[in-house]
Amino acid sequence: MPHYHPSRHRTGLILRRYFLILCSAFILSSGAVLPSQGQTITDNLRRTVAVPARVERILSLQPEITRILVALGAADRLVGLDYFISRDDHLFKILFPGGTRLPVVSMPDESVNKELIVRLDPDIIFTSPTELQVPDSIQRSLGIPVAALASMGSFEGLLEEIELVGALTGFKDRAGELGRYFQEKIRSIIESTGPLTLEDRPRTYLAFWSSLVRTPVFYEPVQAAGGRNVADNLLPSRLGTIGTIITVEQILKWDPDVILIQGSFLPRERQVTVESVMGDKRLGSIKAIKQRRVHYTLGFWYWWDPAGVLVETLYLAKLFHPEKFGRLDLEKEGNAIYKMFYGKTDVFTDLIKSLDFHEWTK
Amino acid sequence: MSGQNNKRAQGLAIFFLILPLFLFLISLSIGSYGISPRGLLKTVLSVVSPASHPDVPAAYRDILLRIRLPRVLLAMAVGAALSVSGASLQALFKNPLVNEYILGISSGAAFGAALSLVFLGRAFPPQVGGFVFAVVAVGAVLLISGKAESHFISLLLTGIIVTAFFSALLSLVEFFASPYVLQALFFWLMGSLSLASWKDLYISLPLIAVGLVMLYFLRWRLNVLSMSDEEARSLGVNVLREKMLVIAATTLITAAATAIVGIIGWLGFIVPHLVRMMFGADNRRVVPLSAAMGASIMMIADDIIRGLSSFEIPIGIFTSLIGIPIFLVLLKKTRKVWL
Repeated sequence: MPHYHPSRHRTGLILRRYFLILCSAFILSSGAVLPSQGQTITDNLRRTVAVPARVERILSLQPEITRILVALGAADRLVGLDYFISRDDHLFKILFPGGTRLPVVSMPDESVNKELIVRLDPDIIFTSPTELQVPDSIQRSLGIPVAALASMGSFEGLLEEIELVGALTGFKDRAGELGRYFQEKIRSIIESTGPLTLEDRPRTYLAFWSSLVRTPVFYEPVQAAGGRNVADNLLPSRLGTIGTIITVEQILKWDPDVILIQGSFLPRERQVTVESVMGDKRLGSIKAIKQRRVHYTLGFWYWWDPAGVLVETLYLAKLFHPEKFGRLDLEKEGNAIYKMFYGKTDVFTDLIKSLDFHEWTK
Repeated sequence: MSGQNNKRAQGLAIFFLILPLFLFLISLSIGSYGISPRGLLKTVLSVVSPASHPDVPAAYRDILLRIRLPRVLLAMAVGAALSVSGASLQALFKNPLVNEYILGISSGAAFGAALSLVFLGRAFPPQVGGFVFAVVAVGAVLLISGKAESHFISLLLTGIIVTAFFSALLSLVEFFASPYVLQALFFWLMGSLSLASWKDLYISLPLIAVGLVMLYFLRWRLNVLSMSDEEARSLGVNVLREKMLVIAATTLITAAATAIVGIIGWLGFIVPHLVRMMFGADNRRVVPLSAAMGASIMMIADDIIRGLSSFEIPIGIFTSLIGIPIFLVLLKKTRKVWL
């Protein structure tokens, strides 16, 4: 039986990212450490962007980068935010209360207030690669470097983001500390699951983005936790994303052992729920339904929260391999992880309450 | 020679009228879950007599009865509805550029669905809101444009204005929507059969059936309405009443279809033209043949999506990719669009 080798698996993931996702984790063109003169990076939209060596004023329209800045202790460099994190990210208000006073530059329809950007005078702007037109539109008209970056569902992508933002803001040591902590946690999860055959890995279907049939073609927390994403070999529906739309029939064909529903939304905002999936008669013959293995996971929250994805991976490991993680106190671990990243206590306990994730800590 | 041509046209018409039945059967056998024709047959028999085929997997029954059957039926119904709606409105407005969404139905439906998703949540199906506001949009067009009998240009212009107005309202609702609701809304707006279920059919099929039957019985009157109003009146037709009936029926079927599957472009424009180029402009033939051809194109497009890959491509892309080349070939061959 084929065994799971983390190194071989990691190589496979990297190749898949390049060949299947087209533009995945960004690549620093000449090493990870930025020299004093600045340098160029290739972002997730394959744009070459000249990045200043050190930045004092950052406009982040990408929630994942915003959260990293807060985790690094560089939140005071933020001069403006995007609409989502400012209005809809219920956790961000707890992690960085000062964020509520920052100007909001982007709107839900992906439009940006360019006059406000000029007034804010940022040294660099970060956007999401899902917003294909935004980076070039801003950079061409305002002459400010714009980088479209996201982890794209990959830990390596997230770690490179942390490293880059740390280097840009002068918080390299803190970035290194967070990066090592993150890697150590993931390594410990993989070691605890031990060598796994393909059959040992629960086949997992992820229903993300408010739809039963929209799913990520790459989601590393599932792999790291000792599972298998059944949509792993598919192509994303468009450049800059890692999601695709499949048919209901395809879910039956995959016959997953576990179905995970994106649960980062507040309960009242969920369009797809565990109850609705369990009650869907079309899915009645699927193993996951028969064995009642339909659960919420965090999923993307306009890309990741670095602390959130770490707790999520722990939770998935416990879900997939309860015999190995049965004694894990997820609430305690979760609170410790959030404390490490954001310096706040009991954040994970609050998150469980607001998302109604009590099943996570059973 | 002319007799031979007539026979050929008749034969072709019969072929197109029975084509949906063949495609219906073929479509049931297409999908990412490989079920052999024998397996399909056994599954059908097991439904009729469960005891005689106990070995049929439960997944086969779910796929055939709960996934493929409602999806294929919905594709047929929506294809027929949008095509007949386009054909009827083109005849009514005496304008080949008219499509099924000209009276503001698409933007009204989109706004209604958005409103429902944002303010009523998942407890209330967005399809109902979509249907209600599609009807409201057409009602607004009729009310604002005044007597449609004498102001058909004003009816078209009002349709365009109301479409723009509801599009603006949609943007406003999007502004207040949470990102998660927006994701659901954008998915709906893309137009897709991917989530077709019996519940959708229970809502839409009766409405589409009623509208199609109405238009089928009104088809000869569409010929009269295609003349000038004076000529139509001289033939004893109550022009205003007939026009309102046609508008009511087209609104019913387009709104019911759009509310369920979202906005699928081009079908209601291309199919009636294809039918007229092949069989002439007599609406007694155009209406049933548009229904059959629309249903066929929609099923073929959906079969391609389901058969080609395991992921879902918006169906509007394939209805256009199939319809437009045929349209261009026929256009080049016949050198006429409106007969």
